[in-house]
Amino acid sequence: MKLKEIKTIKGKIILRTGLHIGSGNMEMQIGGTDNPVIKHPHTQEPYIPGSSLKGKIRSLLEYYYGVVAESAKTEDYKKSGGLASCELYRRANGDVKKHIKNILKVFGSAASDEELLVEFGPTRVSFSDCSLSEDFKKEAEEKQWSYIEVKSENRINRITGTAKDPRFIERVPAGAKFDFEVYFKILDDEDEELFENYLLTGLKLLEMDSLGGSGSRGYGKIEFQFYDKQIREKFNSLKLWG
Amino acid sequence: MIYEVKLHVLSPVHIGCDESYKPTEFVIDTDNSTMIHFNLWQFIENLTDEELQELKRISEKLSATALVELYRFYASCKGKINGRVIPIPKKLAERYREVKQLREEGKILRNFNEFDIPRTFFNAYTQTPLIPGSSVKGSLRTGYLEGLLEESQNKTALIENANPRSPEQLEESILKGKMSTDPFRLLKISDFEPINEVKTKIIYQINVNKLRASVSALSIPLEVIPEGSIFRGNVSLDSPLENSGIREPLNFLNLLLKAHAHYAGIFNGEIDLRKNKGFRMPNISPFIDAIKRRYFLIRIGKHSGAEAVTIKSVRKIKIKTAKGSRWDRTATTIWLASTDKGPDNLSQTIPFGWVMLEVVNADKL
Repeated sequence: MKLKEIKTIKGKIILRTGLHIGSGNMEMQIGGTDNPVIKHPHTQEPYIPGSSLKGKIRSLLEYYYGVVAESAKTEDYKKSGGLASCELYRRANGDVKKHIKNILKVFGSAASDEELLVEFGPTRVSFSDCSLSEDFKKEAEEKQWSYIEVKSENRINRITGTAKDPRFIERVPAGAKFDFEVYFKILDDEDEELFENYLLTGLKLLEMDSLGGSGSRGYGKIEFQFYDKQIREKFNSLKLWG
Repeated sequence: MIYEVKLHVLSPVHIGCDESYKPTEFVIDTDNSTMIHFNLWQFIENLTDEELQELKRISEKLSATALVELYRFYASCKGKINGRVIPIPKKLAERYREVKQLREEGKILRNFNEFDIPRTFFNAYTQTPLIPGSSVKGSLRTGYLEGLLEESQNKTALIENANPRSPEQLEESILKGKMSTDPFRLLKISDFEPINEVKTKIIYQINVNKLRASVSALSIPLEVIPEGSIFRGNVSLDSPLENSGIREPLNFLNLLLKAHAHYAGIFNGEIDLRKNKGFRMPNISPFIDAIKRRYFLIRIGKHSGAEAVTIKSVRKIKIKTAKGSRWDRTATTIWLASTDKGPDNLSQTIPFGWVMLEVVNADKL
């Protein structure tokens, strides 16, 4: 195993709908929202943590390649939440075993077993935190745009027709643009396939799903714009089903 | 499965966002009955030193007369104001002209409430209206719950046990799951963005008693998405995994049909009511050929009416009376959108919130 290349994907993430990646409420502020988004501690600008991208893409790939379904066949599902793991890898057979192995190679295995550590090698992918892009910040500054909107929601009592449980959720509004960078280590020839079938496929799945919280209520639709023409073409021509 | 969805707005829609047009950020063109919503900071950049000083003087005034002076100042600078043009009712433009002449503080405060105009949900950057996925999801859920309850073998027990103080219990019983096992967790509905330019407008919301002959005592301005607007978004529905605990998985067509049945019943009720009251109803004829196959009727947003947001068999609507309140099966009033503040008849008014949901790739249903 030898480091042959580090592939880089650079581009932008454009929000198509409001994004909420929660930060948790660290302190109580009078008049503050109940659900703030994560912000850089110095600049107070919202950002997309690399961990959010990595976690969501991994989860989508686990669903896509049947890892969660495999895990759900036994009690492991309840314990591991369908995560590709060394334990599941040892037990699985056939195609799904290959997918578990590849997911562990790309996203990391946390293997304590020396044999598996050698087999999988180091984690291939590395997602950077995504800050607001400079051109967007410039435009926002010129137009006095806020980086945050507050969406109020409530629940309807379907017996009496009255509203209840009002809540105020911070979002980064649709239209905001973030810089995006991912690095992918090529350690052997097979890793070329992992780059396309796992990383690019994962990004495509994410575009079709949602990032952050409340995706089932419309939040977190994103679009990737890649600077590299070859990657752009490859990404656009990816067919996930059929 | 991912479905491409369009929303055809059939009657004015207002989705609340807890924001109103601020008096410092709009001016009303009384000649053209339009409101111009502008960016205060861009406006300030175009002012001369004298104009800036005048604005500063007004802003430092501590009495409510500053509001009227601000309106007069904006009117005097109308040529320098660029912004989004929103049509408003003629009566509201006339009121603006009258309010600009007021001198007495008490009167000014009383009359200014009329210009506290709630905005419909919008994109903070582009200022264009949006329809949040949460509105559509909530609307579909209500219709589905009603349909499922009607078909349930435990219908009688479910109705008897429905507790208005704990509606979650009823929903959990109907859907046979809660939170992690609620089938709606697999349904993802995006926010909807407009196709082409959608220009919002300001109308009056008027409250009409369904039984009495009088037209209305209450009329308040409101920003709405006008009929004819089209929005697009998408819906994804995942299949539940083995052992997921979801006992009643959703089928999108079944969900849409149940929602359609719920709202069509209410729509037909309003058609009957129209015979007495004389208001307009949305035109659904362009969709009728593919209704329940490609097009499904739903209702969203403010003034959808208590019937639309409740389940028929368990509905208990609180009606305010002179002596307090009572519970009833139907609402006694209906809210209508009107361009006239106090219309003599209701021929130009229309109920709120009717939307035709189109599944563009209906072959996948």
